[in-house]
Amino acid sequence: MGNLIQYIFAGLTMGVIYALTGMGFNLIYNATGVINFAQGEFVMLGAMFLYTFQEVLHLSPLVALLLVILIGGGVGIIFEYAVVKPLLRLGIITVIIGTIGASVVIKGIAMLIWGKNAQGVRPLISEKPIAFLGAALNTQVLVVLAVTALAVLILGYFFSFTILGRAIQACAINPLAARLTGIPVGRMITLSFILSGGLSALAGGLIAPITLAEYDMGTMLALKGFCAAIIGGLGNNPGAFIGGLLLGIMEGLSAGYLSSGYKDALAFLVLILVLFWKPEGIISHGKGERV
Amino acid sequence: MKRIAMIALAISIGVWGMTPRVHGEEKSYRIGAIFAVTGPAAWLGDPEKKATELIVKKVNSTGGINGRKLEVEIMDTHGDPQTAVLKARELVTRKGVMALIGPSRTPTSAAVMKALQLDREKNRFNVPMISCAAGRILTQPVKPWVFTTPQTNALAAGKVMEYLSSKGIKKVGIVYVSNGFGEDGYENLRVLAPKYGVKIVGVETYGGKDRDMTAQLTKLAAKGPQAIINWSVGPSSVIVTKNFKQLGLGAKGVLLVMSHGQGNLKYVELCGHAAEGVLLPSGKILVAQDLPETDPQREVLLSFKEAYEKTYHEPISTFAGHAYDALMLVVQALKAGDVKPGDGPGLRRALETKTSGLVGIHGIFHYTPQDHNGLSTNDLVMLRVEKGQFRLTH
Repeated sequence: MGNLIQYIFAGLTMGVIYALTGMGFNLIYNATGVINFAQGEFVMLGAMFLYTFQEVLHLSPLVALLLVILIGGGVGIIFEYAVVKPLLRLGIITVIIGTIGASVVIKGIAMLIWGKNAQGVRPLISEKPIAFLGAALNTQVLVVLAVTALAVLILGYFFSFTILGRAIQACAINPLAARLTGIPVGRMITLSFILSGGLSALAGGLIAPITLAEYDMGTMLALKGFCAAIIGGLGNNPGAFIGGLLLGIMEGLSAGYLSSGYKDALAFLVLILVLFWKPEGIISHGKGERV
Repeated sequence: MKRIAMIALAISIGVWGMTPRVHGEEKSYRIGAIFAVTGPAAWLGDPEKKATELIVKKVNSTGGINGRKLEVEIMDTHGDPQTAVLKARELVTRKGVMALIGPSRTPTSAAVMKALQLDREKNRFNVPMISCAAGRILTQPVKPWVFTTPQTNALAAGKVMEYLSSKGIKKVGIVYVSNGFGEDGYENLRVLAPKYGVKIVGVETYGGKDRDMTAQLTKLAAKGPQAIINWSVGPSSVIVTKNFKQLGLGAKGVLLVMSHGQGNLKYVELCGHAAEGVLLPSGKILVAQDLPETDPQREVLLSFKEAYEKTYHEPISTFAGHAYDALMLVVQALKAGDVKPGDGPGLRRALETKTSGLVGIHGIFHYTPQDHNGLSTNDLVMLRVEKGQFRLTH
């Protein structure tokens, strides 16, 4: 029993990380239809900047996190103007390829700035794990879980009940019609990039104590975060949340009961099965468009 | 006629330029060094380059070798096998070096080894190579022209098993990273365990980019091992250490043993409190100051450590020792064998027969025609992390 719970906790630890990254994908996809493969790099930058602020400049953790979110938003703007805008008129596929190129560049720059060594970051609350029915959970995981759930709720409210949020959604559904009703489409897209950059940087800052901060941590995160977003249905934030947790727990259980060697294979098998049977995502309302 | 003269001149210049400068009487010993100075393995190549430069300066300032100067040309492989082969060929054919130090990694070393083998089959260049990599394929079976200096996985695994059995430990679990280093380590542990009366109760693996190993550790712990051995390099070993602490396995009396890949203070720093009590096999360099006065390596270690840290203002790592040992073995062979400059085969013979007993950083070397690594488990010690420092343990 203790073992089963420990496997689930192991899955939860990675699952929240995937979930938070997956939501970053959604924000940009919803506004532009682009899948941003540099999303993992946004997360990495968040982790590296948190390391700089908290461990090198010795700022208090909350101030450091706030700065990280601001910088993440800034990175989002730069990214939109430098990569997405110039390429968008050439078509979505070109932009997607552009984001892959950008991720390599960002990774290279990060390597030059922070070096190749992994860096450690102290956790927000405590290093002591929480014991529960004979299993142990890293305290930081609970922090990430809480922040992720909060982000799902806030974003849900923002997109459904505020003028600004609905305007962004309108741009995603039909940019031309949105422009005709007087919505500044360009500005809404920029806002989406700020949101996505900020959220991903926050994600990086929060997971750094669990995973260490390293210049090449983004690639794996982008891959698994993308899986989480697909499993939950691309563009669907509660979906990405559940998809991420599911993916992580699948990995934890397969490492525990099957073999740790098959862990990644099983995760991708689940992804393929979801794409076969419910390509619109496991918690969609059956609309099935935009896949 | 004029044109023919021009062509003849051009050809002769070309031929002169291409001829390796190994012929004729040379004044100095020319050695080539190829390290991964930049790129993903720069953490290996950078200290190796620094150590090499330090030794060259020291040797030449104390009168050189046999009255001749030592010249070492260092080139960068970026950690890439193809680049390594190109640079090695350039050093051997164009610069006319009589021996190669390096490369830093096993894949690059294996590639250079094969390329030089081809050259030798055509009977062109006979250059011994003293690699700074530990891979088994380099020395098992023995290749006449290839030597290595780092402690091998087999030695480190042997030391771990020796230590555990001396503590009366009969049951161990193993986790390792699923790459060449981890698999080689596991293979050695598996073969050696029965010899020391140790039973392996469980084996788990993880990927080098995995960031949570609690599932693997939980599964292992359920099988009741007295110690868990982890074989990996890089940040994943930090995660294993933290997860081990998180699960409270240390408090339940299980020992955590790491490989020699964790022999740097960065590992301890990244682990924080979680590293307390972790055991690992290592060369003596990390605990030079703890060694008894009678230890023959003590003086060599302390003086190299002091010189290195004074010159480069950074703490010494074991990797600097790889290059130190490789170059010092060459220097010793040149001296003891009275080898002429450019005489590769003579140097090779001298390495095998004249260097035995050289006190290096990783141990006391005993190269023989049958053993081109030359170290034994006596050259390793077990370390224990105490208050964020490595301490000698018995």
